Amino acid sequence: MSHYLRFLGVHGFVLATVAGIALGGAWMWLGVAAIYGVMIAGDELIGDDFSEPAYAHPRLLDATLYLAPPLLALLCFVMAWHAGSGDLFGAGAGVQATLGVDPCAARAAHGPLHWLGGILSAGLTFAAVGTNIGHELTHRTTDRGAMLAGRWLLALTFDAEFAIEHVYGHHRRLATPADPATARRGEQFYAFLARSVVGQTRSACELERGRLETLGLGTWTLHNRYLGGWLMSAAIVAAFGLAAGLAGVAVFVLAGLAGRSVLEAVNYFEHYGLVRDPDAPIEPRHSWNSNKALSNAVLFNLARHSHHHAAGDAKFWQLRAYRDAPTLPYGYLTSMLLVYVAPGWYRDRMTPLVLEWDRRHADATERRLAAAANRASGLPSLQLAAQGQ
Amino acid sequence: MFGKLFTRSASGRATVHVEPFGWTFEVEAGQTILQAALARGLPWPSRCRVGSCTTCRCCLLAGDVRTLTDASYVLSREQLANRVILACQSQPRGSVRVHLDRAAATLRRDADPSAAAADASVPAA
Ligand code: FES
Repeated sequence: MSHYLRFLGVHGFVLATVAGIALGGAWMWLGVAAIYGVMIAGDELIGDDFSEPAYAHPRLLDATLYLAPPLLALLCFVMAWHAGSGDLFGAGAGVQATLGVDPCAARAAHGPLHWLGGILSAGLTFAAVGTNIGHELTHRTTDRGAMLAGRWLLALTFDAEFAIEHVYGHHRRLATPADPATARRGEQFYAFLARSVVGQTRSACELERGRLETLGLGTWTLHNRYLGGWLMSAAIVAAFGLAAGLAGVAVFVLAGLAGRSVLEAVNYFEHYGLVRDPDAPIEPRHSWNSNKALSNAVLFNLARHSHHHAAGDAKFWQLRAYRDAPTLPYGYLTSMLLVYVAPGWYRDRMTPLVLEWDRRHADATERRLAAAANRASGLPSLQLAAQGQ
Repeated sequence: MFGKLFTRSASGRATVHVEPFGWTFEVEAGQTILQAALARGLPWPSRCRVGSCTTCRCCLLAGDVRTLTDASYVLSREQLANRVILACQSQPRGSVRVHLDRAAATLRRDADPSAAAADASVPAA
């Protein structure tokens, strides 16, 4: 039973973010504090989980994914209510009548610093729940319902195009210089962030243009999924504008961008510095893996990334541990925090692991590619190693 | 009369025949052609296994498949018209016959015109 229940944990974080914003004031930081605090401490204390349980009722697991859209809609509603000035749908009066607390008083207490916490909490929640579950769902390309739900979830972070680029671009070009979402050796997070966002946008456009040409469909039509994705995001922005004016738009857009940066932080450490011969099959060694129990429970086994890339069609509950795959030094939220606040330090922390990858995991071709990457990295420690490679 | 030949057997399995090698293997319900081939140790070329690199492409000569991803992102109009499919994204609906490997395809070109079409539609990687 606990094997099933653990995948509900992430929704607790959505509720924490919703409650924090609703309570107002310093509570607005609750979401971000709870997610980082619980996850970092939990991954340290609980450690790894290598189990690969067989699930007799995978439909139950799927149902937990579909809790995301209504819960995130609730989060958006609470954000809009608190950013606006009226009583949207009479929700404030309703809350006061049933719970006896006055949401208007909470709203009056919000300062800019409080909102900073609210926006970071919402952004992190959009990513951890929206992007993460959107990723799982948009891999299910035959399931129209999953694709639609997944693209709306991704639209919260202005990234519905992920459904195109990730599957048809990133999974093909993984760990090669042609992949915008693979961080190069020596590249710092913030440089990667800019390159990755621009590169993925370009790639999604090109892929979509190619598809429309192949099928003989026009660019400026509703068949264009790239444009369709932006229309979804625009619709959410418009809804915030209608509900809460400019303040609502600002709060949502900032939270969405914060969420998008979370995806890139994760992209950064999932593939940092790994190389592959573009003509060779994708193997577990071409992603950084983690079996941290809490990271995997909360993120629907996303941290079992080695298997995900080696078998992109596997559902999240089928992902295997791959103990021998190259392993990240920390859990997902710990890695994220380090990538954000100490990007140079994190990059240097990876140097010995990358060199160990060259020795232990790389094949002959990859060793040559790795030596070239080390020379081009601009990092003296990697360049020195390249001399012996 | 072909209907019978190409329907799924009662066990939910389907048979795949691979030209020009003469391989024949069963695909379980829910499995892709590539998964079944690799499970039998056949050297079917593949890289990404999510329908993006097109390494596993082959030509559908007979029968029908359920396609998992949108191949129009990665295959050309000619390839689609010539029934080129991605083995990693295709689940047979009943028994199918496919043609793999453009180099070896020349062996069959004279004998089987549809194989020649497959060859022409698959540019060298
Ligand atoms: S293995 Fe890449 S498309 Fe099938």
